Amino acid sequence: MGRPILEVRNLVKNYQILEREPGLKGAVKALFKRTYRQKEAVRGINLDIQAGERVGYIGFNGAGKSTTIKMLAGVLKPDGGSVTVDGRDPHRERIENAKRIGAVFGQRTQLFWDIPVQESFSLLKEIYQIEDAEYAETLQLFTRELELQPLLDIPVRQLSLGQKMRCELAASFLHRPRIVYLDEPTIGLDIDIKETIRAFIREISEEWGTTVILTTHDLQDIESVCDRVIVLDDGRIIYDDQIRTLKETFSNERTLEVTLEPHRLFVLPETLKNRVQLLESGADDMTILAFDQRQITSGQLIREIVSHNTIQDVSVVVPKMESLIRKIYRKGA
Amino acid sequence: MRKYIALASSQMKLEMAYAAWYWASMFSVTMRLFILYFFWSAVYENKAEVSGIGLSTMLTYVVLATMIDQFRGGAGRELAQLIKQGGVAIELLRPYHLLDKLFAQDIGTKTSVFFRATMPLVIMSYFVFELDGPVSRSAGVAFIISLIFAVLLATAIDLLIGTLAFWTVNIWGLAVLQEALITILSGAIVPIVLFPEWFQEASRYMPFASLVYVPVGIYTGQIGGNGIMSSIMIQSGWVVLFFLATRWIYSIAVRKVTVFGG
Repeated sequence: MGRPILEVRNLVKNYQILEREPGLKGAVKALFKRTYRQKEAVRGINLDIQAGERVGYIGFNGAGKSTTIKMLAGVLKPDGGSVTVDGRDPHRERIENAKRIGAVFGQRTQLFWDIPVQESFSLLKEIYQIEDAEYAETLQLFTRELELQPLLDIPVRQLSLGQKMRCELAASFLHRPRIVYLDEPTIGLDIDIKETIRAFIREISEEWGTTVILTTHDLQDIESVCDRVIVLDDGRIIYDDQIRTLKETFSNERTLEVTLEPHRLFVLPETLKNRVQLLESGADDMTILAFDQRQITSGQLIREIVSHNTIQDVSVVVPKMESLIRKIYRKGA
Repeated sequence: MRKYIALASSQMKLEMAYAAWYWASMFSVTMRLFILYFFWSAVYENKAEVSGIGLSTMLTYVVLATMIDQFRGGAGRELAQLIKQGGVAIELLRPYHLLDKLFAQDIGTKTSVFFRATMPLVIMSYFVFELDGPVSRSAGVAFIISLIFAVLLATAIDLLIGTLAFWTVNIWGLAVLQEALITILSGAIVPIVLFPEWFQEASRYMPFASLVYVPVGIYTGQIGGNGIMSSIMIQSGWVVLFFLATRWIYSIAVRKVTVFGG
């Protein structure tokens, strides 16, 4: 591995938050005397990201994801620590850095509200000084991959959310950036469009070697796009590893969902008490058990359970990303 | 450079995106001209002159002042919007200086204003109201130069106020204050010579007269001879001062950007 394209050292960012008492009285008071509270949004993050990596960056709302992304992109100035993108400080050399990055901030548009999509693209062509031939080729590729053809002549304000997001994505990759920051690019979209967007990010990144940093609340995005996942909680990184490793770590874990006949109580056989964990019991006659395949096989477990209970239905569940991540949160907190 | 030209021309497209608005604003500026014309004609009904200014000079003055007034600001409001609504995050991702971009767009807007408001006014003025031309050919040339500086100065002041939104977030109050000050102090409503002596003296040390009074004064001959040269020098001084101040304040502000709404 060469030098990472993105190096982050002890990154810190604080926000000033205006403290205000509730109600009208508080509002009037705040006009004369303003008290601020420091909120530490990001507290000492270290990261190394190699060129071409696709990294999922996840965490609860307010964990500091967007703030980090904005510092990486050079929009915000860190309060401490350093960011180096391709050998540059993205805030100090903002314009040089901006030529080589792309971004989608899911909740804001970078297209021009009042003019057709096509015009937005050709304006971006001029802004990023893209060669004619390269621009034509890229646009053709994107039009095909994201099915943009019918949208090109429509003013952005008339696009649906899904249509708009496809255009946003095209806009962020148009100048073939080295790094793309995607901040919740699938927020509020339906399954079909999410799939299109995931496939697009994956394919383009593979073809051009684009480094992708993706934040999302939909772990499906991470699973389908990324090869590495970073979990952020309260401004700190609590997990950072390859998705493959994450899955392997937990690969032997299973849960068993048991539905009893109505009005029965679940009985956990004495022999199982040390080998399974009772996650949930009682509600809707559904019982959920967690176990490790290395300690007891699904077959053995089911046999034991059936012999002590009257069962309507039973199923073994291989844990999804989601429950793995939940585990990490629980451990980290 | 090409990107800034593209930005300016795309801004012109934007200005024309809403047809009803485009024609309505053209109509409203023409209406305003009519109102001013009849108002001042009524004022002069029983008088030959007010403070030594005759009707035709006064009409020429108010028409030109209205015309120049159309070029006032826009870029600053745009900047303040961007800051307030968090769009500044997107702007800071782009490989351009935000102030240069706003300036380029402002040129686009003002080119559009020229066709939408200035042209109809000029045509109306000469063919319907038969207004006076500039006092001399050289005054005409000086007027054009002075007009360009006036337009630039208006943009610079507006941008400066807009930059303050990095601290105050909402600049609505400031913008209203600026509007009011400029409307009165620039001579956009009545020529500065109608104000009291002390005020005229004070206005020489403020940038506002450079916005409207100077170019129109040159046109009508109220400013003449050596006054033309020195007025234009003062105008250009203000332009440079305001642009430098805006850039300086902006460079401080960018270090403390907060982006609202995540």
